[in-house]
Amino acid sequence: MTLAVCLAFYGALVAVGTPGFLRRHPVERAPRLGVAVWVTTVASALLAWTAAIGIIVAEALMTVERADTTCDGCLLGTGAGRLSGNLLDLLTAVVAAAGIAVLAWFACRVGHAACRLRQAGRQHARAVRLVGYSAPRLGTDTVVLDTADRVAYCLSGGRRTIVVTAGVLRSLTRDQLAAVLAHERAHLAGRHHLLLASLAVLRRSLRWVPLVRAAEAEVGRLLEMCADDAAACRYGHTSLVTALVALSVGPLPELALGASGAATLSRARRLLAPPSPAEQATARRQLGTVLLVAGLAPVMVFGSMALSACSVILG
Amino acid sequence: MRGFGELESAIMDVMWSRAEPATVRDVLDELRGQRDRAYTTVMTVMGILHNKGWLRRERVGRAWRYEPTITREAYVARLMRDVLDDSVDAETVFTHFVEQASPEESQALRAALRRLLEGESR
Repeated sequence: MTLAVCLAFYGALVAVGTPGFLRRHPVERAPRLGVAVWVTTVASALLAWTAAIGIIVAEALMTVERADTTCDGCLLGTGAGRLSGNLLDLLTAVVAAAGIAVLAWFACRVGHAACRLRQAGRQHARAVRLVGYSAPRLGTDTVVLDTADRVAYCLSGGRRTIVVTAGVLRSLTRDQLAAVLAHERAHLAGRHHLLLASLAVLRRSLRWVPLVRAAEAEVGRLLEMCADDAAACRYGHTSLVTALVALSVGPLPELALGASGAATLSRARRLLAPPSPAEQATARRQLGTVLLVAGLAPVMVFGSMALSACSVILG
Repeated sequence: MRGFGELESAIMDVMWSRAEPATVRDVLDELRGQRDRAYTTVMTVMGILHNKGWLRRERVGRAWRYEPTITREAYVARLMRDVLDDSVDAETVFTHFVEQASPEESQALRAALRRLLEGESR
């Protein structure tokens, strides 16, 4: 029981404290490590809570079983004793059922959200291929939509697709366009959409957890920087940052609703003044330590769970 | 199912370029220049497009006459709304290349870029 409480407390601590903690660290200097840290902490908190519920359920079931076996010989037990024993059984049974129900409800919500997300993505991808024009000189995976909106994104419902609009083609030079396409291809190659979709599903299922709320946005930001690095490697920082500015600055498409440009600004700054190798090394060391701690915690959890399970079975 | 994607595109291209409804025979005639397709294949795919809501149809004699339910431009506008919709409950997760900047952020971006370009020209 104490283990379950400790686990629940650990999960809560990680869930509430991590966003503030990570924001004070220069995550942008080592974006891939930053993504790993965020993902590990989310997984660690969820694992801790699931384990806590699992332990409570298991202990409740074991108490009921033990009570049954001890009461078989209790022919001389008083009426009152047996009544309170029955109440305790009922309580533990209720607790066990509640724990199982919570886990089942969560699994259902996650499954449902995942299905809807996947279906919507597939539908959008099919529609884009039907409604857009292929552009062989840009690549076999690229589709052009005939609209003045300046939008470029990638999709992965079925076939991996990069979507650019006619507005983008008109606004960028050939080098800038090549940098943008390289950025999107880096997203597809790194399967970033899978990670973001998983985090989006979690965010929908666990809206009230600060860590999960923040994780999707922060990981999204860091993944953009990862893709920026990959594209800048090939086409240079200038092409990429001028493309960034050309597409974000200027007349807003009528339909853009309150999207924040703060992420754009931090990406541009980062591309214009890349961190020095020394700064990068420091950031990597710091984040590596956090990753180690966050990663070891589940290992310790499972170790102690295994130990307590052994003691319950043998004792 | 996967092989029909290209044919679906070709058929919708034909339907959108026409001013009036078309039967399977009409579409087949217009496609004949590109690649030879069997009548039944085109008929099947147009039926699929109808089921998916891209085409509506009415019976004329023994054949169906099809027309698009929505123009290409209107559907593109719908897709753009989905992409630019920033609501937390949006059904799909997009990784936009870039998000729109506010006027202050635009100014900061322009200034930062000017400094970079000045630095490079030295």
